[in-house]
Amino acid sequence: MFKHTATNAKGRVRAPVATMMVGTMIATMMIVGCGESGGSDILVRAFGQEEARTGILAEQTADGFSVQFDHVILALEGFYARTTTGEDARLDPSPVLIELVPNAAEVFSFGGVDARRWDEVGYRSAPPPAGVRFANEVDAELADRMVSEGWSQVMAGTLVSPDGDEYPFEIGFPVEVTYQSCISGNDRTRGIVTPVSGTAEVELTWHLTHLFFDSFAEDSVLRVEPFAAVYDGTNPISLDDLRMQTLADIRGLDGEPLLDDMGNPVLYIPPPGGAETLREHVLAARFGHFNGLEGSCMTELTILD
Amino acid sequence: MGRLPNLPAMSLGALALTLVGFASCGLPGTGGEIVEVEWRFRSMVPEGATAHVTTVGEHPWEVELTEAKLIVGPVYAFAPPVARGGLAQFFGPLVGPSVARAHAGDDNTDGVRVVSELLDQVAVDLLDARPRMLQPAIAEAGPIDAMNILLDEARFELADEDGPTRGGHAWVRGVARRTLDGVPQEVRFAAALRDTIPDDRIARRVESLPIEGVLSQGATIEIGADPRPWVRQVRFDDLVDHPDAADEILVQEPSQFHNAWYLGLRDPASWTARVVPADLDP
Repeated sequence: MFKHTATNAKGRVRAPVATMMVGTMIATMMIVGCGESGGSDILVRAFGQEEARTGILAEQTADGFSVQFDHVILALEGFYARTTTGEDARLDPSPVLIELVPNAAEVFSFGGVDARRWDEVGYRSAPPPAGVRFANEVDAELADRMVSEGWSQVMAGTLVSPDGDEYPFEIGFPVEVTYQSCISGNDRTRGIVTPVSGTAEVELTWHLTHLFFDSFAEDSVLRVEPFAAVYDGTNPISLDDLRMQTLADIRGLDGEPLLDDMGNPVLYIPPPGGAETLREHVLAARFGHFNGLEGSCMTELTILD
Repeated sequence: MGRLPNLPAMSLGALALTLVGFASCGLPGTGGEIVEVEWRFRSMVPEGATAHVTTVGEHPWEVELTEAKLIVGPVYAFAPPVARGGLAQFFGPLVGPSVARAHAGDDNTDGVRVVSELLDQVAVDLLDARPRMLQPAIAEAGPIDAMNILLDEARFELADEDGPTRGGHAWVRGVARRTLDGVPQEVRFAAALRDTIPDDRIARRVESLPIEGVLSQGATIEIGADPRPWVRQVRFDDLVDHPDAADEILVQEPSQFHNAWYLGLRDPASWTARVVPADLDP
């Protein structure tokens, strides 16, 4: 039991009951909540950036090709906000499909969340179930194909060569990707903060350029010609068509070895898990940034086929 | 003496309670016991076997390697991320395994704890079946789950033109044969891998090579490397009409040969890694 405390010679309080209680309260708050319960909200948007509106410009690519996107449909689910000490906002949203072209779309909205920092935030992109909710105007036929083919994402559009020749593509991704421990591109801190009686706005920044990266190392450039080179003249370029491009022998539109600016054979640098063809290289791509391009998440990717 | 000056009248009891609170909102680091471990390299080509490989393609070549040497190192062994090995013990699926960051160029091993490392470069002969023992190293006892094997440029005496890899990252020699339309073809080749490997920290390593095991006193970290994938995707057709085709062709960079070699060298399928506990090591 605490005892009442006398003052010392200088009249200062010496280990008083009050300060014991303060310490106890601080400890209790930290143990119990580390935050403040209340009426905060979380609003999650997905955004395909400028490329979703204007495509990828010829100046952005190493080979002068440009890319127009007609559709980028993304399946998202499992957005969570937790803390590394065990608290969980228990959001658990149902799966949703989002069309990223041309504008950002609201994906999830959660109310009644405690005000605090949630330092373990993430989400998942996985093939959608039948009857999945649409967050905005989603092409129903493509949505059906995502369900039937087991795609978590589909990107469709046109590759345009420097000569103006067009090569349609429709690439579906049979992958499940978990994004976790996200770091915000706004301030480089982990997770999000739900303000007291306010809304934490979250942007899942989808960077469409990643489809065309030639390297998983630094200084990668965007190469489009290897995709166009597998076009059969009739059907849109598919993911499986990319099997024709082996990374050790990348071919150009003329069927000859593709050369870089220096006249050397183009070298692709595959992901850590390895890739033998352009198909595997593309499947390893992660597109999701967090609250801007400077934000990132740790990811775990599973190829489902 | 011994008093905490001007701590605003907070008793040690209250301080202790507060620290309990902090402990619940933060995590202390976990240091492990320091032990001595062995490192060794070995070839994945079985003892007594030739280093033989069939290339990909419609008209494949049968290739036999007669020399295959590689400069390896440094090598880093990583503990499982705290989120997996530490927090997950308490919170289960709260945070799961981490495989890669979102963007090309991101370093997937940033912030992951190195528990043992081999800092020296080593030249290894991958056609010699005898294990190559290295200097013992210290390690932090406990589990490891991944390794980064760096493919840095050769340094010091290893960089000599008459060194084991002719001054490059790797050296290979061999002969490729096939019969096409009843006509036998043969390409004898040799090459050094130098400038093809980009000067980029990620491009110059075999990244996050899986390894499962627990480092304890006397354990051995064994790395296996296989030279056969180096040439599996080489287009030997291109060398048939080489001016030196009648003799041995010294293939010069840049070339499809070197690109294919680099991809094969960095492919995780060309590597193995395991921990051999002291009591199981022959």
